[in-house]
Amino acid sequence: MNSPSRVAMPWFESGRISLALWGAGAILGLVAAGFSLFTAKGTATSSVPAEYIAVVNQRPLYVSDYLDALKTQFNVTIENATLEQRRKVLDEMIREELFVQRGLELDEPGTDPDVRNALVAAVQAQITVDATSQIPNEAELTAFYRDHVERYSSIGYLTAADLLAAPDVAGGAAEALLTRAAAALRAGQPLAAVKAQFGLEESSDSSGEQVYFAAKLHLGDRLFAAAAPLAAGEVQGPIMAEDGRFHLLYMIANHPPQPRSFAMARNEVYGDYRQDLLDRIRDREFKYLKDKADIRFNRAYQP
Amino acid sequence: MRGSTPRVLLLLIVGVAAAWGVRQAWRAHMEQRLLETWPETAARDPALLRFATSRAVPALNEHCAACHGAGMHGNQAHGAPDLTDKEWLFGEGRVVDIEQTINHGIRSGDHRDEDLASMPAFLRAEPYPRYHLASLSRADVNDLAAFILRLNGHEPADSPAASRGAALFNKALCYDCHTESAQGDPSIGAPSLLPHAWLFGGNRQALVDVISYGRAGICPAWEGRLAPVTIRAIAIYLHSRSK
Repeated sequence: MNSPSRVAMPWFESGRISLALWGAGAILGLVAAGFSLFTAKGTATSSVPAEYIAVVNQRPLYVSDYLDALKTQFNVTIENATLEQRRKVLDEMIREELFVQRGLELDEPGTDPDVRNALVAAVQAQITVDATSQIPNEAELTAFYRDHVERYSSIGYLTAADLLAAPDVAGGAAEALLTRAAAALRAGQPLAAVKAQFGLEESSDSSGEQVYFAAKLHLGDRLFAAAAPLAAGEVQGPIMAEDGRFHLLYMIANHPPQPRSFAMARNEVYGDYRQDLLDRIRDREFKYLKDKADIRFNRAYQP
Repeated sequence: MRGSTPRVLLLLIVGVAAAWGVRQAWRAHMEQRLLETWPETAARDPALLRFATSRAVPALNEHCAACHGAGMHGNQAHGAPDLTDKEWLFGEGRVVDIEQTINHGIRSGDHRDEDLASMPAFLRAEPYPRYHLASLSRADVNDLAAFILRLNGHEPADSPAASRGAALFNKALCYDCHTESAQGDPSIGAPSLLPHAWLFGGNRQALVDVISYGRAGICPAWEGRLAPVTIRAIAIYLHSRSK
């Protein structure tokens, strides 16, 4: 009886193929896991990662901070720094780190007002940094500009004659004199002629071209409010001003603030948009922290 | 033939895995080298520069092109500087200077950002929020613009407005940031007023606008958002393009 001859199967057709595939998969998995494990951020190893210049009690000192410190302190790159300079900067960084760590152990943030202020500023700055890395797109900036268009006006400027009666003419007489002078100006008489005819003085503070805020400062609130709407050639007054005297305003030229285009104001819009965002984020952060905090009040002092 | 398929598949898997492993190992090695080689030295190493370029360009396109443009040539309308010319607003253009600006930003709020000064708005009632500066009149602003144009050869040498502007340059404390020779001060980001690449345009109207309404550009801080090796790569790449 002939026994069936055993035909040798190639290895890749036998059950060994699945074993080989499993093996290859396992090795791949191990390689990937090992790579991730030993390169992940924060991995504790005895070696110092390339981006750190040192690790002090598991706290890293960054190479970038070291290079900045060299530059700030000695204005040198590491290539040009002497050994002494490099040692000095590194020693100072290690010293700072050790004292910070010791300060935390001693609970300095809990007791020292300067440390607490610095911490508050640091946290707020961190929020700022997060917000500034979100670069707004043009649509967001344009929408912000439209909502606050009054902020981005040009500076208004005017040239006005602020006329007063001579110092020896006061009260009702001054008012009557200025009323007649106003009529003459409205009738089209030149300013110089009217001044001469009625013996008027012109306030030197408010003469010449002035931007609006300066005109307001020089004229005072009441006179500026009367002057701002006037067009060139128009007259307003007599008006009793804050100085207790009657004034007559004659507008020579007036260029009120005009809206500036988005393109012109973009730099300011960006700054304001960012500030507005920061204010909102800070408020939100405070609200979030307050909501999740356990705050209990002493009834005797609770406002 | 039927039997060779699994073998080919297996070899393919092993080959791809090996190639991936080699590539990862090479990348890790180059990243390590890029960080461990001193910055200015790394910038002179052709292999590291090639690696830095391959790492920097995608990051620049993703994070910086929105302001500085696709080719990093800047955008005057936004006041975003050209990063390919030889002029640097902050620092001296060394790799370490560029890296510091990328790490901490400009007016970013980061505790080590570049934020010592900004351009006052001289037509405003309070031109500068940090300390008192006197406002200027429109005539003063025009005179200052004329003076700067004269420095750049666009205003006659005997221009009375430019001469008044020259006196104002000292009186209004412009020299405090831009220096007495108007060469600027890169330690605080005050640009040169001599012939150079203007950040917001160098014509009369642009100058009048800048003096009147001020300027304060912003660049985010990228430390913690981009890997240190990416920041080093960008600094080296930009340094190499800054010619």
